[in-house]
Amino acid sequence: MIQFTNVAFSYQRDKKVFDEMNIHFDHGKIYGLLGENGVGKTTFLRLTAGLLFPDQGTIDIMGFSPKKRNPEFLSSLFYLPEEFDSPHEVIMNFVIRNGSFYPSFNVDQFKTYMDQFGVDLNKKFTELSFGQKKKALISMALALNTSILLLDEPTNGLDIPSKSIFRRLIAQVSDENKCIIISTHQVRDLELLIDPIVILERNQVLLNDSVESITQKLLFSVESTIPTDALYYEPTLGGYHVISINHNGIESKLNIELLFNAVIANRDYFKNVYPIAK
Amino acid sequence: MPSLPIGTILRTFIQLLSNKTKEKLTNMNTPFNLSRYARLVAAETQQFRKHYLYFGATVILLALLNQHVGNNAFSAISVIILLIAPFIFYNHVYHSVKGVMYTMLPASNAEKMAACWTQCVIILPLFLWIIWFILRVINHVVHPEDVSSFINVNATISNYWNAISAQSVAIFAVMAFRRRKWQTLIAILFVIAIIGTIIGISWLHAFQQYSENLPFEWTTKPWVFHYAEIILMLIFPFGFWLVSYFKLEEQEL
Repeated sequence: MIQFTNVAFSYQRDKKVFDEMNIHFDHGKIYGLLGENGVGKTTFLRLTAGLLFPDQGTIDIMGFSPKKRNPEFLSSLFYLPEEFDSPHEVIMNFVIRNGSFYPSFNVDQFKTYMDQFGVDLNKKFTELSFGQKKKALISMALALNTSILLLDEPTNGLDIPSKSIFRRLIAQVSDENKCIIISTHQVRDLELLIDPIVILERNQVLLNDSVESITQKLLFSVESTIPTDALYYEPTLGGYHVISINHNGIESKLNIELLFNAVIANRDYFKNVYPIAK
Repeated sequence: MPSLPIGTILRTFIQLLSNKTKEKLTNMNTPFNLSRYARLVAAETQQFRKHYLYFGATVILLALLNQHVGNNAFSAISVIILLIAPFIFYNHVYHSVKGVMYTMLPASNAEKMAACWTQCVIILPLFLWIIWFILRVINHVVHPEDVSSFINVNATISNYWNAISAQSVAIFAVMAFRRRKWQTLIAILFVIAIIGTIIGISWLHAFQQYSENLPFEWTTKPWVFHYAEIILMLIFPFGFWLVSYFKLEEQEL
């Protein structure tokens, strides 16, 4: 569905954000895009959306080149940025005006989502708080029913009940034909939602694997002492959260935050050994 | 002389826009689709309605202050509005936040450029013309002693053409410069004006010396001037419109 082949991109000539980047995203999945600040998560989403053009390499999205901004391509993809503009107009007017360009836009769906988030769709954007604006735009993004949905930090600014509604709605709209990519630092908000997990590092992809495959390869446990073969550990109340190599195929529950820290602390292992580990 | 059926044209155009915007968009695989273009024009007109209101208010206010409305439909204020409108309407094109929705909108670059052109070259001048018409009628009622013709067609057409020719440079600046669009344009025009003046003066000197030695006097414009006029017309506005489209194709946020 989304294929990056040898993609290179830089904002300045000597500072490459991506170099020879290869990655594939499939339909029917909700990807969690993780990475430290400045590794290029937003840049990746903008390249996918055709807002930025690669310096080298090719990006293929359902047979389209995002750079050409073909209307068919644009109507099958929506990118919700972390920061957004607040138009001086009523939400409903704005959404109907823009939504009418998307063949699968469903206004009733939009009204339902707005109702679930508890936002008045007859208010102006400028009258809303940051979180409310975000809820309105998330509702719009979901009601457009595009095949590809790119969400940049969607839970930032949402209150606790809204995060739960967001998770429910994403699970509801997700189907076999859609590819949803969520870039986030708030991994706990989306822990049970995102699968596979993609961890970006400057110039490279450190991890791109399903939760099932990760837990087959790695064992997540809480131990009273640090095991000798621990790949990564963090102190917790009365012991340690530990990640070790799963030699015996024991089932364990994935802790994304711990995994992320482990990947950052063991870049070489995850870059070279992990992809071929069974 | 039969009058132009402006009312009929306007009504047909509005009907076309209205019908095209009500249709469900299904055909997304063509680079230019009339329904999508019409919808885009309608959406942008709705989006810019406040700007239109401000432009209209400015023209009316100046007419009130002047206590007179002339027979040239595109007076200085209308020309100024036509020149600054692209900067106001499309200032967000390169904005990393404000430009996202515009760039992601499912319409081709050709449709977006055509909509921009329609907005700046057709709808805004038409809007200004309608305001002028109303004010001119009021002017006739208030000043019955004014015996000048209702409209000076030649001056109106000439001013409109000159305004949109100059506006094409403004559209180009909007599509080409990422930041400080009008400041950059003014700086470039200033440099061009200085260089042009220096070259012009030196050529004039050379030309005067040359013509003094000629055995005859120029009676008509030399043929080269006719070609220069055609070339200038191709550049302003057609060339700048075309180059603006290519710049939009390259636009990144």
